[in-house]
Amino acid sequence: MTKIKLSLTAFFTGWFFAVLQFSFLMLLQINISSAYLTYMVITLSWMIGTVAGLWIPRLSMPLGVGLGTVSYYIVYTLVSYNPFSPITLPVASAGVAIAGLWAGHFFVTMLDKSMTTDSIFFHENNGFIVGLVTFFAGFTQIGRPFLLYVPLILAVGLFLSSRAEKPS
Amino acid sequence: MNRFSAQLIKECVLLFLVGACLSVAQFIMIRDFVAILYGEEVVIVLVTAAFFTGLSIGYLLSRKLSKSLFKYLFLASIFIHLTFPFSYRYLASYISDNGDSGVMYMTLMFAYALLFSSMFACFLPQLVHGEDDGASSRQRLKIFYSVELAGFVMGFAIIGWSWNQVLSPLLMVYWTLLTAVLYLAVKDKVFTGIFAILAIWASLGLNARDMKSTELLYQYKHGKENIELLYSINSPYQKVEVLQRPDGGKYLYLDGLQNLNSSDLEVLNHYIAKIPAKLTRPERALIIGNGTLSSVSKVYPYTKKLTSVELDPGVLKAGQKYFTPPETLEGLDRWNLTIDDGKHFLKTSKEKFDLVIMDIPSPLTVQEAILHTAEFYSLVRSRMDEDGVIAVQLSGPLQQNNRTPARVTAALSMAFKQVMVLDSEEGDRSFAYASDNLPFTKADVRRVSSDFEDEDSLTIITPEEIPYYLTKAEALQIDTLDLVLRRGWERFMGRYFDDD
Repeated sequence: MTKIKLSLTAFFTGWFFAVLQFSFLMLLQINISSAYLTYMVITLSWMIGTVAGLWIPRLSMPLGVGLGTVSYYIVYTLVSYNPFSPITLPVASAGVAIAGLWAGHFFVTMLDKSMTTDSIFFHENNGFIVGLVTFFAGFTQIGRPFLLYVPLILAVGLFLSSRAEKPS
Repeated sequence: MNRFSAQLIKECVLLFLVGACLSVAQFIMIRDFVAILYGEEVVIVLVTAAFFTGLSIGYLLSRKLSKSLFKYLFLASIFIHLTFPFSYRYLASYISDNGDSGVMYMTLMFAYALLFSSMFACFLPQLVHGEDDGASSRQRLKIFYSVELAGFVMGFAIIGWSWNQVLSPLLMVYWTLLTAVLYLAVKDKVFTGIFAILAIWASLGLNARDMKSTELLYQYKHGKENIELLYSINSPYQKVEVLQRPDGGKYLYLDGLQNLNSSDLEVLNHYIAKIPAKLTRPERALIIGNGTLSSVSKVYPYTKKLTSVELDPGVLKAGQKYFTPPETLEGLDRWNLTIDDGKHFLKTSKEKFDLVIMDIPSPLTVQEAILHTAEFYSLVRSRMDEDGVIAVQLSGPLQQNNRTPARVTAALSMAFKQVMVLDSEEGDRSFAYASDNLPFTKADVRRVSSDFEDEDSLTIITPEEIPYYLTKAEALQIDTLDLVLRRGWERFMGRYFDDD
């Protein structure tokens, strides 16, 4: 049962990461620019955050997911209301990196829960594929409401699942 | 340095190179398969998902395969890499020649996704849970995943270096990285030597084979007989290809989709550029898109200042080489070119324009569709005075339905008070002119276009008649980009899974 729970957590975390990453990208592309620089900023910042997340000594799932979600909505607000301020892109880059922290520390946390690396990456990657498809289908159907609500819904789902895990 | 730390360093180097290979493999596979299957957003998502499925299979098998089985599968897979990209292009041409089966294309794509990504995904789990060297799995995961991500970033840098070039230099670097991965993973000098020799041999005449195999795709898959491929590069955004027919006519393809045909260019430029420029005589005109720069000379004589904004330097390169030689633009001192995203340019520019020409591809991807939305047209409107005009090609004839031309016209109607549409049989599509106060009438348009297309084949739909065509149309907006999914899906299914 625990194995299934852990697999599902990894799967939903991958889903959350994909939706969050693509939402960041789309936010910047809609509000600032679709130039390649935008894509580079998101990808590199996410990777920097991931590597930093691997090495930070402590980060719980609620805190990691919460930090990522709060960063996302700060960037959302900033690019929606002040897209061309000189601080927007640096702040967005920092926000993406903060969101990436959990993308790194998540793997360490799951390994500590006796999941093997192949299993974590397998389930997380499957979630990422579903997230990729969900994002594309969802964004083309409803547009900005997807960017506004879906990352939050997935984050709340992950947060609740982590609370449900605790008693066992 | 003890034996364990030396081993750890070797494993780190291996994972760094694996990260770089993964990055380059992802780029090559997604670009090439998107171009083979034609680059609508649906296809981009499908090919990306296939690549990630390959990774999942790699993770799944990584610790289930015995060492010897993994070694032989790895060797088989890595040697097949030397046949990229020709083998899958030949196979796609073969499938096309044998009935264009969608199932076969999907099988091909997933098989190559396995080859491109699965084996690279095996290394990290294997090494994290590898032989006990004193470091815990936790520590090894932190080190190895960090190193693999660093390698991935290096792969990014290599891809950046290869932009706006032919594919062969990138492939040669990729094969060099694979040689090092092979040596570190298998530690077999004979296999590494054979691979290196074959890679050098495969590098000879690589460019010619790259061009020939792409040409074959156009002959079989696109049905363009006797076509000659003149140019094929990967820009930061897409695959840019120029082909020539025996009669000298040229095509520009972006990610496998026809962007323009030189024989249609005259009609397109006439309606989207020359007519509105001639009728408005703008003080300041802006052309968004038009990477071939072919419309510049049509607008220039009628304006005091002309600005072109194009995002993709790769398209500009192709345009200057094959469609608008730089010498034809020499001396145009009232014209300037900016490489930027159209909406970023408009949002950051303080200039106002009297005429804005939207010469961009049809809305088949989200990014292209955003430039056809009511929000974007409102942005254009904010950079114009009341009688400023925007000219847009509608990607088909305007009809009373909910398809692209009607939805784009509806989006224009949300941002501007008046929209006039010209439906040209010559151009096989409609063109829209929108403004809050159109500075010309139907009679004016008829007068300036009479020597180009006669009254029978050019229908002019006045602003008063437009609402009739929009009764079933939902305006294209950022929150209603379903068109990208629907149209992409229809095209994809029609192309590969429709028995008719």
